[in-house]
Amino acid sequence: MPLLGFAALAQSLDEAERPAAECNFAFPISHGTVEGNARFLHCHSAVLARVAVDRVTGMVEVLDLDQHTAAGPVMDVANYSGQIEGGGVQGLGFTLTEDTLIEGGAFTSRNFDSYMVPMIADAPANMRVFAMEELDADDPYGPRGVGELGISAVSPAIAAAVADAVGVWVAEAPFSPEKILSRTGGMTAAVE
Amino acid sequence: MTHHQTRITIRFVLNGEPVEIAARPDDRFVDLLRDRLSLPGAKVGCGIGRCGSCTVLVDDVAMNGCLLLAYRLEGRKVTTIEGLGSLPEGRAVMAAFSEGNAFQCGYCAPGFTLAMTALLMRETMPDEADIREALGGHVCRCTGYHSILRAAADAALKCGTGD
Repeated sequence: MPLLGFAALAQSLDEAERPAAECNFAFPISHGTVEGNARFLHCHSAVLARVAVDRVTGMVEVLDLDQHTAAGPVMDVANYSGQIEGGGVQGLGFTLTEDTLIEGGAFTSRNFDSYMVPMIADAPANMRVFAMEELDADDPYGPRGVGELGISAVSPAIAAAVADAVGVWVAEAPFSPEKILSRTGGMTAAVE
Repeated sequence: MTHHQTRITIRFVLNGEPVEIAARPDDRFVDLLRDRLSLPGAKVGCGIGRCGSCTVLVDDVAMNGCLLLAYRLEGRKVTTIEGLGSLPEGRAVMAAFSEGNAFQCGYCAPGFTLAMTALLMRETMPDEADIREALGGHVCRCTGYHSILRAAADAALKCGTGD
């Protein structure tokens, strides 16, 4: 079975036979092009996280992640939930374990043995995705793109859940066990 | 990496066909598949056994192709993603993962698909804990894993009912 590169594939056709398509879309941006309410360009989300914090190890586990999004009518359920769920767990990783440390101008994490992406064991037991599909009557743009929208509000949701669980606000991601323990006092902390 | 200079002849069964190949004993199996045997379905993601995208089945057990050295293949039966359609469990997994839109970019898909197939070959009705354990060595950046969990449960159901 020979493998064919894209360049070789293109060269195997005469120029006139090669498929071509052209399109353009003037994407509205909020600086100068939008008359009136700029919020019509954006979409909004709210996230609720339930966590378990181990007071001995400082480990945070996200048990449930509920994501609510207002982005207009959903055009494809699989793509929509994929973006929101995928963003949710990506946000979970950014919040708890993923860090790009740089030393002398070079990344110190070079592979998945030191850059810790969430695995299936880290995925919350329950994830629920909701969609508020109604748009305002005077909304000029229609449905919004939701690519990676699911990432945005996960960190503050986990921070709020951790604060609710152990009484400390961690304001810098990732929330490493060391940061949690240094703030809670770990095993030396008085039992409430 | 220091290679042994001498090549040895290694014989194994690859997707149902006997294969004989001259290779260094410490060649990575995934490189033989991709560079010498024209089977690019197994991907080299991390190269250190963390991401699972190079997974192959060796005697029906899911293994990392990047950690598997060529000499270990002698006399074994290997199934790659390209040969998965020959297994009833493989067909059930592919149908369920496809129908359930389990993946997005697809880079991890061969690994998850083979690992799930191996689970169904040894466990007829796996529960969610079994599935999470069997798929625990695979990185997926796109999906958040829940579409994969739903489709894997569906694959188990399809397999159990012979659908």
